[in-house]
Amino acid sequence: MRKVAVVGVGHGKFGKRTDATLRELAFEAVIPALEDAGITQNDLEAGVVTIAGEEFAGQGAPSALVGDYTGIQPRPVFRVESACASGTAGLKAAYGMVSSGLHDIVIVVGVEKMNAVSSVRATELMARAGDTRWEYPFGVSFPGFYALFATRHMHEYGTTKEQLAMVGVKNHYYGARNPVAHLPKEIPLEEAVNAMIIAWPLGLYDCCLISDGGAAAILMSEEKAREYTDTPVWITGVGSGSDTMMVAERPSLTSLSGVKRAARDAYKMAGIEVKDVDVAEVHDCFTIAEIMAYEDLGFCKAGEGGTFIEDKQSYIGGAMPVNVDGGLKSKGHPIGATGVSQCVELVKQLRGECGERQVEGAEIGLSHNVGQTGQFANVLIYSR
Amino acid sequence: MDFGYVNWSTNTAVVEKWNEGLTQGKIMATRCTSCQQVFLPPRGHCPCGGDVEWIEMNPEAELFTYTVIMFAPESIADRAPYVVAIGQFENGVRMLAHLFANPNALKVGMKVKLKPEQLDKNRITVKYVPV
Repeated sequence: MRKVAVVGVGHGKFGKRTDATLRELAFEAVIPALEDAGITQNDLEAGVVTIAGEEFAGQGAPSALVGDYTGIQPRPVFRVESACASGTAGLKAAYGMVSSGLHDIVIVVGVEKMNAVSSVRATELMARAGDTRWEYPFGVSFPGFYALFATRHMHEYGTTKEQLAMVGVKNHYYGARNPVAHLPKEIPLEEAVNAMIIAWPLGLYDCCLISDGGAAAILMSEEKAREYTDTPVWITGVGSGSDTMMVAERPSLTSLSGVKRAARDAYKMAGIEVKDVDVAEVHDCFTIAEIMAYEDLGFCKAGEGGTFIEDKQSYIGGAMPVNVDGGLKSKGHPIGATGVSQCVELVKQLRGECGERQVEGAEIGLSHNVGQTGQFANVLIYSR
Repeated sequence: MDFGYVNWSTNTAVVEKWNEGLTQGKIMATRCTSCQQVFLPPRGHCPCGGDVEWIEMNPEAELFTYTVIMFAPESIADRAPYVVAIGQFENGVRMLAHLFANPNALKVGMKVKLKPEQLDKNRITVKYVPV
């Protein structure tokens, strides 16, 4: 397989974007990515578009719309869907096309327009990603599924509601320093702990945002990357896993087996150990998800995720800086864009372009992107 | 007969048989005659390729985990708040359903029982209740 580099990245403003539709959100990410790579659409050979659900924006075949409006057409585009892990699934598809030699330059565009529907409708659409025969009919919202994990984690390991809240507090601390964040403001711990309950034990500040936005990344073969940049960021590890459709069936509800498999394979492919990672982007759709990620990725032992955040080990200066762009919690979670947004942040971190959020000297970055409640899991390793 | 508070799936033979059990007050599961795996809720096919047979479950379970849904999906919003629970049965299998109990008196490990709940003439579901 050929080496593959990320040469250009672009990121639109995440938020409740009443001023922009799906096509415009995609455009906001694609043009900066092309400029960053120093190319135009004419240099592209193909595009991968990642959108989780067309029901939000109400556009069938949405990848065709994105390909057209952003000027990728007449070069080929297709859509990749893996629920909330769509972005990294698209990056994986593009990685495969470039590493195999099928193409030399491919753009990945992740975008979602979620606020075209009400929040109760969005909750409905996301709930339908649960098993529609046996679990969805009981009205298990997405926060509900992760709340089932949280209750169990608290029971098995003594994890506290305060520790959950501390994840949100951290991510808002960094999100407040990220100009593209949906909700760039700090929140006090007391406010987070005592917030309105969405699905016990998860409160408002334990849950990510319903966001609109886009992110884009341009992948190149080594030969092309050397031609266009002196600062390529290599994709050195790609690992994936899956899990049962019905959450009740799983042997453990405090860990995601697909994530463990994805991490194992990504570390192995990259030839690294977890201690070699300098900065991580993890899928904090809910605060408990970030705590489970610490454990499943090996940042700490099983059951120690709560104390890991309490000891501020996931802040810059700690053992493993995590989500220093604000994460899904503060930066926002336009579903199909999230995995690509993680790529954008890590590329900028490895290039040293993150200002006050910069992890000094970062050389290896990890992206952890989870779809549904673990049915899709991708771990990508980026290296300078 | 349709199963669940909200459902639009086609009623296959497996679901018809499950619903029939519920109308008789029974919780039915399937078991693979080859690898012996038990499926609750029932599956018509075992991943190993073996044939499945129907068995009646002991409806008693332990509360494995739970949540109280305050902000519900659109289709079931009128029922909120409600408790969603996963119970673990004696043979280790688990199933998700609502738990009808005081949300302030829930404890992981408490004894519960899964029973049918007729919603109207053409609709049935299951619910956990404390034992």
